[in-house]
Amino acid sequence: MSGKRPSVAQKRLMKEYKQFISDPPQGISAGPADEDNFLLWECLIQGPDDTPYEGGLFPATLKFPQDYPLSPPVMKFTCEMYHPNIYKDGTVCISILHAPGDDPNMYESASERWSPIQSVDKILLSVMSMLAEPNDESGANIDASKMWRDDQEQFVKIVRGTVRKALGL
Amino acid sequence: METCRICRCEETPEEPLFYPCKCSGSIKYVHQGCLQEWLTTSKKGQVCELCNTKFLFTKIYSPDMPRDIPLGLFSHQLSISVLKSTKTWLRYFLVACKWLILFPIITSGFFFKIFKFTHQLFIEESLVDNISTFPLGRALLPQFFFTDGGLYSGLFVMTFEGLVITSAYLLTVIVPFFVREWVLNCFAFRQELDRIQEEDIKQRHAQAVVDVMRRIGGEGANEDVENVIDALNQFQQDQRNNVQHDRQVLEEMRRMQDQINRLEDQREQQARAARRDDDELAALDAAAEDNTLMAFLGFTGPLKALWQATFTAYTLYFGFTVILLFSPYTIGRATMFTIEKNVDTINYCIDAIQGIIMKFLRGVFGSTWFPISDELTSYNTKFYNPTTFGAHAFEVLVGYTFVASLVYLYMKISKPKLSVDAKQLLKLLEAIVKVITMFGVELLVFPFCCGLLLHVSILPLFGNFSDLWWERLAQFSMFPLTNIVLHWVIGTFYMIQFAMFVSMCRGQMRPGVLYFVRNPNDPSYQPVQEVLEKSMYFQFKRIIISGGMYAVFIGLCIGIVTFAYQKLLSDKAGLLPLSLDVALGDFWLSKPFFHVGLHVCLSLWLSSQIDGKQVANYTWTQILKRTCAVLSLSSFIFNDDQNSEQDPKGSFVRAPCSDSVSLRKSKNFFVEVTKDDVPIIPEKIPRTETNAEADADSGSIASNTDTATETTGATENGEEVPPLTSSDYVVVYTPPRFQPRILALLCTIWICGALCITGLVAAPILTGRFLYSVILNNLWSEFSDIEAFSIGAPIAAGFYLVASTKSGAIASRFVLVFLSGIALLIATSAACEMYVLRVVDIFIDSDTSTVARAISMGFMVLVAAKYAPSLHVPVLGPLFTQTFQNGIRTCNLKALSKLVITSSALSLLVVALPAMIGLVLDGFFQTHFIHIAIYPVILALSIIPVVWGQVFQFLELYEAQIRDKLYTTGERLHNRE
Repeated sequence: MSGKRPSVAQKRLMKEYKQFISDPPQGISAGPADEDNFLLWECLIQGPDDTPYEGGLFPATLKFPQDYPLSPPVMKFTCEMYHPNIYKDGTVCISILHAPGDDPNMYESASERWSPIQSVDKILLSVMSMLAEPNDESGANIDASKMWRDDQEQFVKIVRGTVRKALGL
Repeated sequence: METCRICRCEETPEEPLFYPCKCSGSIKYVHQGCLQEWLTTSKKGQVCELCNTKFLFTKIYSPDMPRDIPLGLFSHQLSISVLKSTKTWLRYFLVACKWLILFPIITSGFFFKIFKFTHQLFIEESLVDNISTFPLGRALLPQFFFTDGGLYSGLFVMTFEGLVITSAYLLTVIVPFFVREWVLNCFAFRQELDRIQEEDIKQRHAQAVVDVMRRIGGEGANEDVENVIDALNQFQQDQRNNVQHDRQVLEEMRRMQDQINRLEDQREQQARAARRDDDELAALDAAAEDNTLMAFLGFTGPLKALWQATFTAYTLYFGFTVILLFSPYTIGRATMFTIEKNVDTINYCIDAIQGIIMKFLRGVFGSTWFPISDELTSYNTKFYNPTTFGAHAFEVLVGYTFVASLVYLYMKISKPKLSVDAKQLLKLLEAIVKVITMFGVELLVFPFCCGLLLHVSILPLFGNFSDLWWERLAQFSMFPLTNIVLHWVIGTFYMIQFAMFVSMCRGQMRPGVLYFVRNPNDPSYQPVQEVLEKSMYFQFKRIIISGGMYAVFIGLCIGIVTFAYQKLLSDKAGLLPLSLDVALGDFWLSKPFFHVGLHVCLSLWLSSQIDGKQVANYTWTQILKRTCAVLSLSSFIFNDDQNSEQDPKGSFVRAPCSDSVSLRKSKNFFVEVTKDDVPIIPEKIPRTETNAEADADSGSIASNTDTATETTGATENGEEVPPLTSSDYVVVYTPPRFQPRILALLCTIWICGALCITGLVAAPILTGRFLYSVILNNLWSEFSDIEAFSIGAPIAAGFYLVASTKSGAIASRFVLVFLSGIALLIATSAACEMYVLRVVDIFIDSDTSTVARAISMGFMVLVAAKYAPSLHVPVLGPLFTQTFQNGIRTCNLKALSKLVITSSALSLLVVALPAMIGLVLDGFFQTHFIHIAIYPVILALSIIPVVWGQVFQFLELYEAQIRDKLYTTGERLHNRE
């Protein structure tokens, strides 16, 4: 980045970072992986209380596109996650991370989708609430979706297993 | 600090912040540049994505813009854009010609050429001239187009055929694609795919073990892979038992290594699958994206691409034809040709068998039904006529069967080793074919057969059954495709009606009475999954049984009624036969077709006035309730405990209490219990007398239902019947002699249904015939019962409305509406006659009665004016809505009188004024022609001011556009007040 004027994306992410550390939301920590490149962030999310994910600490990465904030970032958990809205490779499938143009599941209204007014803390808070309340309609992990619907007990058991694994127990 | 909601930067003198929408708080402000960039990216129009406020931009014009655009500049710009749009339209025209005319003509030409090639090789020479075509589109077009035989009609027919063929191809490509999506979405199927993959991994695992052992030269050196798989499975068992310790260590090492291999494999495969999905998605996106399609069709992009696309399309088309039709057809034709050539004896055999059957039938039914006609004997001499459409289709099928059996044999005999992908692909193909076959049978073949049966069973209404039988059969073989489509439509309509009837019954009865009929609203019903899971044999058995049920049902419930009517009514009062003058060859152009269309429109309108569903529902409830009360079945059908009905001889049984009860439990239902749900006979004994009786009974109810066969299917599977839980059943009272009572109920339903339908058909027809005999016989030269029906239906419905209302004021209101409706119809008809039909008469000779066609056309115009929302009649439209916004019953009388007065005045003006002008002009010119010509002339004259207004408006708009184009320097965002 040296010698070049920081791009709009970099500038905005810098501001967001400043804002984020001045007022960090509870249960979330995040920051750029590398001070030179603000386009890749690393974050840690606490499992929400009173959910199967309680007590867990889940690492994830946020990859921002060059034209951020016009396009949404991609969020990917780097630990194993068992959740109806998280793909098996860890990618999060949540409506506010979908650009207004594409709609993989054909049900989200435009107002639920990505818009430049969103920000890192809002995304992470949404993901946290998604952990607490999976969205039945958009299945990213069909097996988990089915399990969550039909066999809550087994679902909780598997999730507890992944939580333990994420903590390295 | 106020920041832009997009870039989070603050205000600068060059980039001020705006607040253009209702949003407030931290997202209130935005830079104009940021906002415009976001709007172009999001492609959702100039609207805030959060509060849906429309952003307001004002154009800033350059200061040197003249107040009026100079004429030279204006005409320059106008000519440029006229040229441009001419170019675009020419291009569209070219593209349309290319795809809609040239392409079909060439394709259909090619189509027939290559089939002729087959014919010359494999058909007896005497027949070659008879088959020049593969009559695909030809069979759908009305006879009308073939009568003149000129060049234009020939080209038209070819184009039409080409279009039909091309759309058929497109369908064959698109349908499997959709089915593939469904199949892949099916959970069970994905598991199957995974299983294949796992098996393969196991296989390779074992192979690796064998290889290693060979290298080591240990004890397993001579084992083959299958044994190793067994050994491995065995080994996993042994391992748990902790035996053969040293071998275990060795194996463990191998296993670890294989595990790693396997993981790598999986990862690779996942990556490959992901790549494949991506590619497919990309291809799909590209195809779905309008731009690409437009470019392919030639609307956009360089003109050269049009010819490239044409080339691609032709190649695809030719490839498809050769692979999908020509090759199988040639193979099939060759097969049939060989059979024809060599096995003449088959002819004799078939002749002999047919002769015996006919003799038998004649012996049983008498020779009137199966006459020894010429047609029949000529049909007999040649058992197989290769010139017909059916024969062509059959030969294509033979070809496919031939190829498929070859492939099957190859797979069976040489057992080629297939990769996982190939295996999965085969599995997918199999699933797709299975789904398409089952759905095709259920959605196409099944309704078609229903339509055929219905047709046969209503034949007695139209005359002598045996005469009509042969007549319709001949028509069918002459116009096979038209007939197939017609019968399919009729059958589908019937099945939908039947389903509606069943759901109506479901609504009225206690839930669970119809437990053996699948509820289409059942959320857990997944047709694709079921097709994939159950075996073909089971499904075909189910379809055949339910087809049999339908056949018996139609034959018994409709056929018997029509036969009875024929026997009872044909000699009396001339009520039967009905005259229907259906010429199936020209069906698409025929009177019946238009009348049916007209009638559908009309019944739609009427149905908004009379709530047919409610009336039907009420009637059925009454019939059912009364019958059940008489038969003491109220408890069983409605779960309605009437103590007066209960007899000490009757019993209480457990009946299913909801429609979603698992059919596998059905064996446990209808067990006799006391009123307080204590089994009378211990539950262990599987089959009691009541049980058997109940089974038989459920069978008898089931006789008219599609899915009744589920019951049989489930019980034959030999699975263990799960026990009932108390949420599955209710205890209901069944009177003694339960079975005959249910039968009596069904008979009552049948008789009432027959009476209702007869009433619904006969009342309009009789009304129409009466009207014809009294008033209309001077106007209509020919009058079939179709006309009688379409005239009689609204009048009979009107009578019904008047008769069914108790208040005299409302009844008189109806009469008023009815009369004004007739007045409106006459006025519209007169206008149609004067402005359109008489002008058309100058060019085309027509022998239809003028009044009849004027009234038909006036009627259609009225219906169109009601339904086409774009046809807003300036004054009458709002008045009409105002009058009937609350339905006929409570129509606005004031608005109605206004409507009648305005419309009469208007039609008087429209019809009488030109007539008067014509009279005046007649004095000068002394020609009768003036009376005809005056109407279109006046119409044209009255249109001129409207057209001029439009042109003026357009010019003003265009000037604004020029300003925008030439003098805009920028845009300025508006703040919200």
